[in-house]
Amino acid sequence: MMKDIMTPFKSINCPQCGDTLPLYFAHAKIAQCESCQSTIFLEDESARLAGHSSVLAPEPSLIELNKTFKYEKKYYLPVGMVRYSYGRGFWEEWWLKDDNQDEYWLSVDEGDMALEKLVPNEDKANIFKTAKVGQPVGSNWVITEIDRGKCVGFSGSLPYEIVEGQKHNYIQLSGYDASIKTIEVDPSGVRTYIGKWIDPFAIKVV
Amino acid sequence: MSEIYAIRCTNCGGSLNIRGGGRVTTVTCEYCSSVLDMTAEYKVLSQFQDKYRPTVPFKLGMVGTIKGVEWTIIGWVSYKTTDFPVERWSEFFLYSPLYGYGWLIYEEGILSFSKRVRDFSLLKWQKNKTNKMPFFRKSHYMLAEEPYNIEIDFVQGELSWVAKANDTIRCWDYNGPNHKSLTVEKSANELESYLNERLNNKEIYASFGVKQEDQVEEELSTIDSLFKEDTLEASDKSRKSFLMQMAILIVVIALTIGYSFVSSKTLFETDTNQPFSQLIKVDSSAFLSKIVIKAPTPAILDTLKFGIYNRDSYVFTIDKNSLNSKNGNIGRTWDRGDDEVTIYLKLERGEYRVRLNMSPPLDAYSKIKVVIEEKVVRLTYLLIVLALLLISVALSYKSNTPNNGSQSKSQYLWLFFAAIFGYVFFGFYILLFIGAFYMIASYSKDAENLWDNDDD
Repeated sequence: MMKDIMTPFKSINCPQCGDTLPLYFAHAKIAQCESCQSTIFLEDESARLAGHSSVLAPEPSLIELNKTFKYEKKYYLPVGMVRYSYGRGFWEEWWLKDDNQDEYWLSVDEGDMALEKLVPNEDKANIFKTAKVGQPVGSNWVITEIDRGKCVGFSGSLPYEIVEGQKHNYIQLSGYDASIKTIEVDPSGVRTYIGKWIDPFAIKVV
Repeated sequence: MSEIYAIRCTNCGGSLNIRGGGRVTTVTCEYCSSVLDMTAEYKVLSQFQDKYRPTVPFKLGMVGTIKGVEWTIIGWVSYKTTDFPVERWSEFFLYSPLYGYGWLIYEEGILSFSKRVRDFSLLKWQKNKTNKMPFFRKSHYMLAEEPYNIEIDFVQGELSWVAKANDTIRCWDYNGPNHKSLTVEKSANELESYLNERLNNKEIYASFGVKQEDQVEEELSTIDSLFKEDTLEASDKSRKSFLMQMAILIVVIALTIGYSFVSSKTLFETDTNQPFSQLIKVDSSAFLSKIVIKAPTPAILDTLKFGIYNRDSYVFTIDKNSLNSKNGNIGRTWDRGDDEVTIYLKLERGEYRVRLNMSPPLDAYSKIKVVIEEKVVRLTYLLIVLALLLISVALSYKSNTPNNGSQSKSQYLWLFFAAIFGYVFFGFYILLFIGAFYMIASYSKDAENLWDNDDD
């Protein structure tokens, strides 16, 4: 399992420095070269240089790029990360691959962790116009947070294009079974994620 | 360790160290007790001046390890209950760059670690607040006491929320397994849940560098001090071992006592239509003897005279009109219409003669059944069981107690004496129980069925 999860879907060479760039998902849209920090757009079979991206300041974190961790009997490999700022601090969204080759997002905010999965979107962008904290949505959800994040950088590979400074609005909802739902909107569209809060002490870095 | 930067209090100019992460929003000046808003250029939000300042073993800036994670104390809040009796405790706000925020709770020498949990469904809890046993992370938690209100008594350092002197928080505490508890806190603006876990004082004091003279230990009850070991787990093991032994002991004794009441040895049994005179031997005076006389019809029962005699005289006799007992008149005979009578008698150990007469004689087809039983389990058997269990418990303690110091040896002795005391105490109640049984039996309906003596 450990060997499988570490095996990239394919590897390309960085168009800037030529170093090997492992890609873990076929639908990755953007990647950052670890050697030269170039941002590379991935288009079908080609890789296009988009420019040089800033290097994120290293922050202490339980989760590290390309380092497998275990949670509830499953292994996860972080293949990409976006860091968002909320002014006084930041939070990180990690793109993960599990040992079944499924993809997840892990949100890490000062020790609070939520593991979510992208689901078919049933919500429209105009939900942001009327949403209020405490407002029920359907019979299972209640809005618990509405905010905006600003991308301060990324590393690894991601399934959608993102640029530094790009802002996205999000709504966080809590479910009656302690589940979590996040609806976010940015220039690339509306995305919905559903998952659960996880105990950071239950994460074991392998 | 977290990064530190210093600012000046906007109220008094005092130096403030800022240690904790992006989610802290206020810092309370330790000199003037002003609460400063870190999200709005440190403007003063409120003041806690003249508030009670508790004496505690921890202070801001201390760094220590809890659950394998290094934490820095960045804030301190003291709470008190609003209802009598007023209870006070301190909560130290902890920060770890890896694990975020947590709380080190200090209350009269008891230390706990608390962390906000998001996977407890507060929506479900809100819908069903009357549920006294919420289920969380594969365990049941039980409401420990009625919900209570608390308010802030004192605050210092950084917090992730704005502390106000008159804010009231309502709390629900639920006790769970392995020294864990769950607390739901409801304030004017937020509803949050926390998982709390008891900590080992020795480890925490050492880890945070608390001086020996500042360390405060929990005042243990006599029982708790008997089971105190170096770690909470070892104390639990010691207590569980003792409780298991006691449980086994109680079950065995209860079963033995129960068996003594249902078990019996038949001394004599007959189906007859003839008068008889028969010797019986009673082996023990510890329990009652049971005599059952059953006739085919009430009319036939009314023809019978039954008596038990020793060498010197009668012990008791019974017929349709009266009963007579050597110990005095203790009741009345059977009722008209009865065809069966059961008698419980306390017979001393020895030989007795049992006689049954009938007038007029019965026909060949009418049989009288007479059964005399003696209870077979005796108090002496219980004492043997107690002695055996006592030995097994003593051996168990000896094997479970680490023989590595005077404290362990004294604990062993304490446990041993506690066990003996427990058994004696329990035995006393057994004797009381048996005595009560005799008393009740003496006045039971069956005993009332004894009749006056017409013995010769």
